[in-house]
Amino acid sequence: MGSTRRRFLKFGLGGVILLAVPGVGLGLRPSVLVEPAAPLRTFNQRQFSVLAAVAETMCPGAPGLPSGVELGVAEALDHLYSRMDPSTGKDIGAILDLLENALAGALLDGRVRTFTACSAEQRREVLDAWRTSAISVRRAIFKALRGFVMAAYWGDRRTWDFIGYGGMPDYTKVPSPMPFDAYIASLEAAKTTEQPAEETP
Amino acid sequence: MSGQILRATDLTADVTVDCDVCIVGSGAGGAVLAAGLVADGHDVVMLEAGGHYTRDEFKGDEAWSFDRMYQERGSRATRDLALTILQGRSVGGSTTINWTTCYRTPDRVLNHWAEVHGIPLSADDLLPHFEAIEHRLNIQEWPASAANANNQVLLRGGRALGWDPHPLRRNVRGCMNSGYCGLGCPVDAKQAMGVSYLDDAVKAGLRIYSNVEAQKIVHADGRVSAVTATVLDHESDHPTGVTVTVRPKVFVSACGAINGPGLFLKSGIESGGRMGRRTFLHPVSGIAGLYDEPIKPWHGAPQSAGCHHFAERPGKMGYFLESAPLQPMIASTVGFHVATETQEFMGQLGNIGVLIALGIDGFLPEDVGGTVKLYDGRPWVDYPVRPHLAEAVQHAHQSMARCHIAAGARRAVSLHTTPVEIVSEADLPALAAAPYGAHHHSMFTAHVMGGCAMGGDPERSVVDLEHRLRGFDNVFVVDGSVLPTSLGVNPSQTIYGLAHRARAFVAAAV
Repeated sequence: MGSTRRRFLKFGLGGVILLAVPGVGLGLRPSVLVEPAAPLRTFNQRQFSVLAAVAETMCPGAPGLPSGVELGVAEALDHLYSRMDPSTGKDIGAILDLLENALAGALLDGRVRTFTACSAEQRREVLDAWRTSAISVRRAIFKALRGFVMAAYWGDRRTWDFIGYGGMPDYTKVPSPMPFDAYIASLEAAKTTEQPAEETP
Repeated sequence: MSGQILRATDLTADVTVDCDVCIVGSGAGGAVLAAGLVADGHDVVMLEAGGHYTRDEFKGDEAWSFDRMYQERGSRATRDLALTILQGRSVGGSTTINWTTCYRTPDRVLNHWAEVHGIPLSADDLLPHFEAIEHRLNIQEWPASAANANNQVLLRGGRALGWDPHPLRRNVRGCMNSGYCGLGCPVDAKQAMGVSYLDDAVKAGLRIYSNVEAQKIVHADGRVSAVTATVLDHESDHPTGVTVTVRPKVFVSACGAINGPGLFLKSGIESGGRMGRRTFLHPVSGIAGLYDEPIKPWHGAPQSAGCHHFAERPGKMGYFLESAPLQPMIASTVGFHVATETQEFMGQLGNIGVLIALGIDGFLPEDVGGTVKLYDGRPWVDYPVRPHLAEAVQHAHQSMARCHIAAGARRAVSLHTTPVEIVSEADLPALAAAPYGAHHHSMFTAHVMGGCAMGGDPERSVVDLEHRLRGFDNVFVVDGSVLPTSLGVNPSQTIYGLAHRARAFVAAAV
């Protein structure tokens, strides 16, 4: 997303995103910061803490299934955005700032705490409010954030036992099909011996 | 003379290259064209922004493959984020990661192009090109008996409803039925460009510069004199500071229906305001079905059945039905649910089949599709979800749910922000009453077409009938961006065929 996209988000949210700037009124409410397991490349610690809270809420884990925090989803995404167009990380950072901001939360959802200071249940309610919002842009932001978090989480092979997914079998010993010219020659040879070669799926 | 494939690590100092033809993009269009041109003895240089990867690196790891072989690491989307865009970005372009489905261009599409867009291209005209492609890529029908459970859902349900689903054709040779086409074929059975036309072309002299992104076309008085490009670090994808300048006699854009128009726009070529317009996406919606028997939607040829029963709906947007593979990462992104609901969905993934409906855009008079524009220098598709599309998605939801139920699903589940469950046809009215449109349900596309529309009328088209950019002597467009509408079938074979046909036009301009 480019800066034009950020302008689009601002208009789409009726200017609420402008309130995401920390340091204004309820925006001063404290964040609950967490330490990243690896040096940050894209986000500041506050944004990282919001992303970790989102990952924890969206991917709580279960018996036999590690949580999003345990799998380092926020760290993985911080690394991913560092290898994309810089505007993407900036836009995701702006979304995380908005999600955290208590004043924006109060206006949009009636909550007066920062997202990181909310309980797990409250965070789920906040995310559900974004998911089901009548404002299309809020649903778009939710879907984008959800997509990144889920992909980082379920793309991690440590979640696969829970699914019953064994990953791709080892095909390294399967030879490549013969080169095209040799393949055609083999077909011709087979014709002359009246034993047509057929592809078997 | 043997050519070569250069990587970023081979390009440590600025270089200027002279050649007969410079092709930007190594996918379905560029590869077939390049193979033809080098066979004719022309000196061809190809620029590819993505990296070069081979079967030894294809381990079926979604995170690895999406990260390296998809545009924007798999996160490309339309401007309002309503549709995710799955589009390839490596040597071979989308053919490296597509699902191998091949159709010839339908007659009804060719007839429409002739009547509405002034393109007198018949099935007979295209026949020799399609036959050559089908021979080289071993395009053959995949037997229904080999279809995986996910595609059997469409065959079984569609037949029960009298919709005449059919086995489809694939470009594979020695396929192991692994199901990992979308992550790079692990046994080189898929006849992607990297193991077919590009392989032929490099052996005959083609020079491919991978990790090299074209930035600008240098032109004056209707002629291109050079293409400037930057080398990208193969890991970070950020510019290394090294530049490549190509000075060709003829320039060909083959980098797809988003990046192609984007490159022209960045170079100040707007084609009377038509550049980037009429971009079509075959917008895809889907419905999951939960089955008692194992489906394992990650296993087996991803697509082996199609159904065109709803392709023509007079006065409305048609659509066609197919199945889609679900490895865990992509499966997890399809819905809106989170937390325990997602865990429940993923825990049942082995019993889930997914049907998809692809909207056939560009045929209604009011359907002008989307527009590629530059935003802060980056190309984006602005593709509003208009009422005719929302109506088609609503209708398609009914069809997909009915197909799942007819195929024996315990229940079908929509991918709405709040999912709708369908256990029997009695639940269909509730599904019809759900909201349809941007961000009410998941949508994606894997087919980006148009933006440099071919046509007979210079005032309504971007390229002429020989793929030449209007207003230019030595510039051609040879990829899916020349399509004036979508196709109503998967587009790869049409692009192969058109590129095979375009060889003569490009060669004549050298």
